[in-house]
Amino acid sequence: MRTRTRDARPRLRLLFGALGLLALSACTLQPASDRAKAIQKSYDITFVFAAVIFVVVGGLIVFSAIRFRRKRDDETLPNQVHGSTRLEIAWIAVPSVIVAVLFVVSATALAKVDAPATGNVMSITVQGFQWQWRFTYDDYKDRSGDPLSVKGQSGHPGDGTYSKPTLGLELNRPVHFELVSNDVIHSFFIPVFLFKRDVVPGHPNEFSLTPDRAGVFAGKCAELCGLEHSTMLFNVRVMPHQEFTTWVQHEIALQQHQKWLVANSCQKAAGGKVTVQAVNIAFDVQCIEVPASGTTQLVFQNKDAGVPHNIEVFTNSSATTRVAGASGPGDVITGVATTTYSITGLAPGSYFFRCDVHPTQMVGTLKVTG
Amino acid sequence: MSARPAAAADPVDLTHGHHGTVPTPLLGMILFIASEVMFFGGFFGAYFDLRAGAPVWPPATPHIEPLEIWPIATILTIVLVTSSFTAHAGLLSIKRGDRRGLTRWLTVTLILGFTFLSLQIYDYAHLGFGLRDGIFATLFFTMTGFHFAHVLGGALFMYLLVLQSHRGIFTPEDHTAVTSGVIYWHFVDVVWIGLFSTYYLLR
Amino acid sequence: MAAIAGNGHGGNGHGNGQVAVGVAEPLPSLRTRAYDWLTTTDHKKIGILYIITAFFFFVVAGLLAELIRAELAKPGLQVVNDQTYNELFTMHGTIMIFLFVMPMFSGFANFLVPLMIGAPDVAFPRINALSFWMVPVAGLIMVSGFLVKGGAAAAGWTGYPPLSQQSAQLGEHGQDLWIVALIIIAAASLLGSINFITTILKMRAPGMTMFRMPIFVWNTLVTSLLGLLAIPVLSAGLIMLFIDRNLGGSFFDPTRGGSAILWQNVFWFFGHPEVYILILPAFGIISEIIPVFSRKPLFGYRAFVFATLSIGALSFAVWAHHMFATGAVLLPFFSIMTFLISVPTGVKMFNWIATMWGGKIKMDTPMLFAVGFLLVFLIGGINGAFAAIVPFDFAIHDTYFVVAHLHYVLVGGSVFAIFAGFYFWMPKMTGRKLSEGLGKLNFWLLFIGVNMTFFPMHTLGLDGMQRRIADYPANAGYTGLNQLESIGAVIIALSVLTFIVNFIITMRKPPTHEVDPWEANTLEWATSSPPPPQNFTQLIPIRSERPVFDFRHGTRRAAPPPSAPAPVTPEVSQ
Ligand code: HEA
Ligand code: HEA
Ligand code: CUA
Ligand SMILES: [Cu+2]
Repeated sequence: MRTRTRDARPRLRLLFGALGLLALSACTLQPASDRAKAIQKSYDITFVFAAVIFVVVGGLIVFSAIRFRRKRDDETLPNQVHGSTRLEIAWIAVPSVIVAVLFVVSATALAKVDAPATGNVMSITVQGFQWQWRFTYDDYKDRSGDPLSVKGQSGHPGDGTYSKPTLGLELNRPVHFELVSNDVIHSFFIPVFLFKRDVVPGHPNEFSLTPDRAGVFAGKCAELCGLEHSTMLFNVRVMPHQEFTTWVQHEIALQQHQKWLVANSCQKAAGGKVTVQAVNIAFDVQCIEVPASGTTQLVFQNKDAGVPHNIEVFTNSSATTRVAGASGPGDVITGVATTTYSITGLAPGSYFFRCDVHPTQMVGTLKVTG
Repeated sequence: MSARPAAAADPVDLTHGHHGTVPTPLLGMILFIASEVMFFGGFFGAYFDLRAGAPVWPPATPHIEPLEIWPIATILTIVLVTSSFTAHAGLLSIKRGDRRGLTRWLTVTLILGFTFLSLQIYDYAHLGFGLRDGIFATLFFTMTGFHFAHVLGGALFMYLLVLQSHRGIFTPEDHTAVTSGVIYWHFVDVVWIGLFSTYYLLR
Repeated sequence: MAAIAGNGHGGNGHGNGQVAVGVAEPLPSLRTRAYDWLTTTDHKKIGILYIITAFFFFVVAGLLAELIRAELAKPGLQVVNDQTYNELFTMHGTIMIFLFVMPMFSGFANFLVPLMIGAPDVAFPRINALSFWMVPVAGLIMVSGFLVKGGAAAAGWTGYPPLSQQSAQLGEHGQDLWIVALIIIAAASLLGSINFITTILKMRAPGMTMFRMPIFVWNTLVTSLLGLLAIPVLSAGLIMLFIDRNLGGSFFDPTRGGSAILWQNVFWFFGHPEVYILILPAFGIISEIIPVFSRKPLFGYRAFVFATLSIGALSFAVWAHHMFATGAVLLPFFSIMTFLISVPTGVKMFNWIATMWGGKIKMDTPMLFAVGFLLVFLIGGINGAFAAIVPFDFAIHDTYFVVAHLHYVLVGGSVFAIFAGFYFWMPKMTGRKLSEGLGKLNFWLLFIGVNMTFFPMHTLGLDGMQRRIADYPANAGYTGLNQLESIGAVIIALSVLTFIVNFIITMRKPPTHEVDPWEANTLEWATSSPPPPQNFTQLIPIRSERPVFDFRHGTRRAAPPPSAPAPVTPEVSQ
């Protein structure tokens, strides 16, 4: 933190050994966004106040505990002072003033943090789900017009399937984040931005910032959200313009490839029947294909002992209009069990299916061919 | 073990209870009611928070039949408000020393209380929706349900008072239990008026 | 009141009035004694039962904490799995707060309040016994969560929905046991609050005006008021949670018209007053101990009382400082209110220091713990004020910085005060004084252990280590400090062990029944140790907030004429 040698902190750090650790850590903070700088400043000012209060008050405590020790065999009473209005007023007034100053510090920084983004703003929708993230770049679309969407896989590092998504950001370009969740509360936390905001189901949140330091940083979920809360991690990669554009193109290409894979690995109905399994809170297939004519039996096998699942088919991923499968979120089967639905009378086209209990993790496509 | 701390220079007697005029059990009851106010306050707070956050109230889905102010809700209100007056009449009786009056009025209160409870059950059965049917229904059944439980508790209290009053143990000077019971009954009544206003008037 | 130049009577501190009465009685059989304890309505016995129960749960929750520390000592999952880890901190936090600190202070208040105000018992002794017995029942229900399918509650001590609702869909009921246990504890502390308020308002001895009450009694009064008004809101919230989980309600289900944020508002509306419920009695204990060992009256008695009252009032207007990151609260309002609450707390801090200032301090173990309390609570309070800087809270909310804060105020605050209280009132409760040597060891181990465990958490929090994680990446740079913390936690355990040893050794010695071993100030020191069933056979006159001091040093000098009619203005003047 070369830029801050002018402020009082390095000296204070030497002076106030007890808080040294804290101060040291503040130096490792290295804020990486415009808002983070404002936050860091509020912290710096508060830190000075806190250090002074700690040293003065703590010093008084230690001093009086040592200085006024009773001498052995001294049985006399000290002066019986009962109080002092003047002192009382003083130590109401001084902290009140400090507190007022701190409030102004807080409010000033808050105004900066809350300021809306202007200019060439990129908007990203962040979806938290148990237990990973999906970042959707509304400004960048693939060939079929779907926005670029980067998603992680839950689990534990070393599990094989586990993957941390990367949130790619462009250096010095303002970003507007929209935070949504469909399951429980998460919290979108990027330590170098000194910022987090809760991702609350039913209560979309938003905030903006401009990253101003390139690099790869850690991102995490800060709100307890169940089993794999601790591995709900992601990478934040802040890149200069050129590198960012390349990254976006690369990610779009990946997305296209992924789509192609899904489209070509669609499980076709055979003998009037198609089977979907739920295993480890995931569907075994992401795409099923049935003919438009006649009736196809959709056999749903829940292999997760003690866990409820279902499969419900909708017109599209907004999941508002049901067309087949389970009758609703109340209609679930608890594993291990099997149930059968029929699919009939659907017009050719592409449909969406999901498990209503795990609507973010367990999703797929139903294709009806004519 | 006996305690003689000191040959006190200025011994004082150990009588207590000369602080203020409110008898100790009554103070206990008042404090209890204060806590009950906060308890229902939690639910009312939740109601208004959720209502403020909803685009339409009651929410459009799931659709439930709107609550009818007439006849049942109005009758419920009349019954309970009347019972507050009869309970108070009981208290005034014993203050005059009229024990029979106390018994009589408390019995009337008790009967009105049970009328309220029965009618409430009837109402629940005919509403056409249940606690699971969306947030409005959840709030409605939880809040009126806990009120119901409090009326039941108050009615039991009244019943015990009737029994004791029948045995003639209350006097104009000493009837703290009656005062407590009546205050509690008023409280339950006030909560109902709050519920009535919230669910039937402020629609 | 005129200050006392005070040499004259100093020499006879142990003089008049120190009649230790230890008449040997034939010991009744174990069965009678057990029956006696189980059916007692005596506030002193109930107080001791509370204390023992609370201490038991302290050890239970402390052992859970040691497991947490063991798991966090290294990256990777070594000791427990994700699910168990979530159960561990949930139960640790819940038990510590609801089954340790709250009942512990109920215990102290039960034992002390009637004695301190010169009353024979509490206002409703049988209700008192009832509310005690609800605590172990609730404790068993709570802990039994570990035995049911799916394990104990695992959604944190704050139990945020929708997470806390999910296990219901799986047919797991640990969370329901948690809810039921908390509802019982809530009811118990509610009854306790009513009891204390009534006792304090109605049962004071003649001469014991409100402004002559010991600060501990004042703080119990305000704590009880907070409990009376805050705890029912928790009960309402818990009931909503239960209805959502088990009866198909949708209070907190956003897909069916509910709101996930609603719970946080309800919980913290209770939760913030709750943290003062956990600290005001500690302030009370400290305010009793410092004057005694400094041999001075409490500096600014009235200011102290008003500080307590304003903390109580403010505590209802700050709850959303736990929700700054939700994006759903009015930030500046809750920020300023939170700042304001440091002012009255500061008043207390300065008054304690001023009490020591110019005193003749005897550093016996209770005083040592009290001074330790001042130091560690100071750190906890200051970093609480840090968290009130809204933008800064965005950085440290739900990180180990908050864990550091809460332990500095709860361990550094409540636990230090509890130990100070043990050492101070042990002679009154049992007629025996704990060993000073072991007491000092107890203190130093705790002081070192606590700072070693909880100070590095600030750094980790600033470095972005989130709380409630069973595991952290090996390359995050968290490992070293976590190891240090885990060692610190072992030192804390050793300190607690020292206390247990000290207690056992002391209890095996014959009692000395010293009436007033510390030359203290308040009425409980004017009766035998332990006190007789109705507490007093005779009361000394009460002419100030230090009746025993006045009595020891001669009423003429200590209670000059202006204080004769009530109420007195004992403080302010030099
Ligand atoms: C005993 C319990 C206790 C006490 C006393 C306090 C006291 C305070 N607490 Fe704390 N708090 C908790 C228990 C407690 N807290 C717990 C358990 C949590 C976490 C809950 C969870 O999420 O699990 C929490 C969390 C918490 C948060 C939320 C953090 C987050 O989650 O992001 C905040 C934010 O403002 C906060 C603030 C404060 C403040 C300002 C005080 C003040 O009362 C402190 C006042 C004291 C001083 C300031 C020191 C003495 C004063 C002076 C010497 C005067 C001069 C000082 C100044 C002018 C600053 N606390
Ligand atoms: C009064 C409250 C209190 C107290 C005293 C403590 C005491 C301790 N706490 Fe904590 N703690 C909380 C309240 C408290 N805690 C709360 C509210 C949370 C938040 C929970 C949540 O997130 O939901 C928390 C969370 C919490 C965490 C964070 C977990 C996480 O977020 O992932 C950690 C981690 O280190 C921790 C550690 C400790 C330790 C090491 C102690 C030590 O001080 C404990 C020391 C005590 C003992 C060790 C007693 C054992 C005694 C012996 C071993 C003697 C031997 C016994 C016999 C011979 C019979 N606590
Ligand atoms: Cu998502 Cu924690
Ligand atoms: Cu708080």
